Amino acid sequence: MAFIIALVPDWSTADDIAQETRVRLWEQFAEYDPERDFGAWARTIAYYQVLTWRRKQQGASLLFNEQLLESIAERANKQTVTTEARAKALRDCLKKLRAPNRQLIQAYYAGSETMKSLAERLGYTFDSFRNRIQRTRLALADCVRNRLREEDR
Amino acid sequence: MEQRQGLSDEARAEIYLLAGAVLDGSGSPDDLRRLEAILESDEQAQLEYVEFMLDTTNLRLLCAADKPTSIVDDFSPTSSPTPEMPKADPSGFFPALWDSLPSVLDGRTPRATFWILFVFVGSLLFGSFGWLVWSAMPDMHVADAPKPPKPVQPEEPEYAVAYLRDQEGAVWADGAEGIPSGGRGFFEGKTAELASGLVQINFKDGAEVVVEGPCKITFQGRNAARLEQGKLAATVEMSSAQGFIIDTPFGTVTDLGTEFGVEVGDETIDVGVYRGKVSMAVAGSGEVVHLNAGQTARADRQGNITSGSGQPDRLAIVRQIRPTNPAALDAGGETLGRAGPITVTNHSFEADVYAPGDASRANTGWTDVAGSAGTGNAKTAQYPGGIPDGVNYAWFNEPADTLGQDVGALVANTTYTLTVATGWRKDFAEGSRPNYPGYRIELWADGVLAAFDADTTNGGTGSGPAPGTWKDVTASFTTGAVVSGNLEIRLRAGKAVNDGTALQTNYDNVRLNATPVPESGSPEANESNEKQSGDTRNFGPAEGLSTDPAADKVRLTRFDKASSRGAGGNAAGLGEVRSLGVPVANRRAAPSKHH
Repeated sequence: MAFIIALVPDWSTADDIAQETRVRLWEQFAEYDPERDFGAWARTIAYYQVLTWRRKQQGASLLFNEQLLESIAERANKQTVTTEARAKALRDCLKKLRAPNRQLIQAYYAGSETMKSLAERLGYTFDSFRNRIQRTRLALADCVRNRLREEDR
Repeated sequence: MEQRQGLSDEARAEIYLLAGAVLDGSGSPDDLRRLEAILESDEQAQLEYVEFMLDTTNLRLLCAADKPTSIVDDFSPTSSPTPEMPKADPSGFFPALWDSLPSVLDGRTPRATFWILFVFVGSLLFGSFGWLVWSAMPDMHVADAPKPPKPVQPEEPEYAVAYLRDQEGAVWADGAEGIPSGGRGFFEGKTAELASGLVQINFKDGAEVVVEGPCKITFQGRNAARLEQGKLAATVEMSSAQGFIIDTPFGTVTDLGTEFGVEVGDETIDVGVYRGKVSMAVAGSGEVVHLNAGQTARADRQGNITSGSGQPDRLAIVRQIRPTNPAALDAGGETLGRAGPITVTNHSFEADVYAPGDASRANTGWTDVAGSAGTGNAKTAQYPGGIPDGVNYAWFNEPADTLGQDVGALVANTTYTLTVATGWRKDFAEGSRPNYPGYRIELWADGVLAAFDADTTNGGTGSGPAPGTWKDVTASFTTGAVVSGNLEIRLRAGKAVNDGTALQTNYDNVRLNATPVPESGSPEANESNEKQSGDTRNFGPAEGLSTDPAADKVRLTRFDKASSRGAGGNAAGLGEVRSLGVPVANRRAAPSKHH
């Protein structure tokens, strides 16, 4: 999913593409070349679903030209080598956040509310809410990076 | 990690801000262009962006996974009171959070289904991460796990609606003999003409027919055919096949359960019911006739009906064939139901015909007890030494996947032995899924687990095959003097399937054997049973399970389903259960296969 969302940064579209991908995976499972990594194969299928979706958009302005899309997909493919470790690190880092920030992250990512409506509901201005989320995300990213470095040693 | 040092904190912050805005829908067109420009100019930026997206997806997973109430809610968005869910944080991720945020969470997340989908697709697209989150989720989520959908109907590749199971001296109208070189599958709309001889054809929904040449049959679907001319006997044991339709020029016969014969002549149709009942809509008059076991009826072109209680056997319709070359064909046929092999429909998973290396979730003749196991054509890279029987195997990709097959009524004083080949795909074992996924085969007697065999991770004492190879595994039990109900085979996925380290359980060549044992009390009984397991006591179903590590199997000895129904419990609806006085060897383990 992260792979798809990186290529089509819109949750509901990515959802549709993921579903399509899932159907394709089942259908084409037998075509999966066992010499290859299963995840890589799944991502290839997902990539073609993304391309199919883009073609259907006909003329609508798309984020990322095709060359950039390919480049990002390639990047994402390489990145997945450390996916599992990264997910673990993220989980640990989330626990280490200060409670209020953790709550904000939790509320933001658990629900379907937009940042705007959530900010209003929790009594923040949009900008201050966004800044807090932004800062917390950066802190999480730093933490994850440090964790992965520690493990590298 | 070093290569990323080129990216400044500011640049990274900007990417996070822009990507977050794009995802949130709050980004302006300028934001989008700016993001695109940054990513185009810098590979490090792309990496940063990809990591952001990965973490964001995972964050949503983690946060959604931590909210049982809302996820449950979402499955019934309009339901009034949600059942009270525990407010404790089940995963231990957010110790105080759950209680401290009721107003924020407020139990509403319309997209919770979406998150669950994330878990699933995430596991596919990003290896084991989905599993990590999954394992952190409370059990109830697992119960709600989305089942992988069967392929959407219009996109489903064309599969045969019926397949040739066996033949006896078959000569086709085009001169071909035996099994046609074109394969065994019959596609919808296709007509087969048999000049002479007999063939057994199994329909996708489970109906089994024997047709005798000369005959002309057109396949109208997975549960329907048109018989222009000739004789046909149909056995419909599986509920999925009830309503099986044989259309003819003179009337349409609809199965209402079990076994019947049809003969279409030049001017008439004859129908006889061996067991159960059928209805016939007579073409000439529009009248509908219902026939019960033991009855026959004839209708002519004008719709005149002669019905009577003449024995259906007088129609001389062949109901079972003797395969000419049993070794080369599926097991079954002549020996059915006696001491010896019991027919297992589609026992080698060859019924669904595939192009080389192709597969699907079709599993003709079997029932998805849970999940959706499939069948597929084996590849050399998966099993370099080939597979035990035919070209297809069955595959199980989710822990819940279970295939079942009811093989007919149990017979007293009989040892049933299930033998199944189980394989471990070399490509997974030596590739991205290095761990053994496990196996578990089961025999169920009248709805009760009677015997099973499994590897140590699935409750048994067995071990799996080496990567890229197959191994026979066996489960066995013996019935007592009094039995009721049917025998069912179940094949299950190993628990480790799709946990990120192991992927697929495979089965092939399912064999079921019945061996009569002397009635207990006779001198032979003790001797025989000692050979079986060294224990001649009578057990109930629960306590009867005993492991036999040496034999790598679990046995139920003397399985007595002691009930007030006694042997008579079998008689209802099953016309052929004989009294206990009949020699065991003549009793039918699979009553559908008589004659």
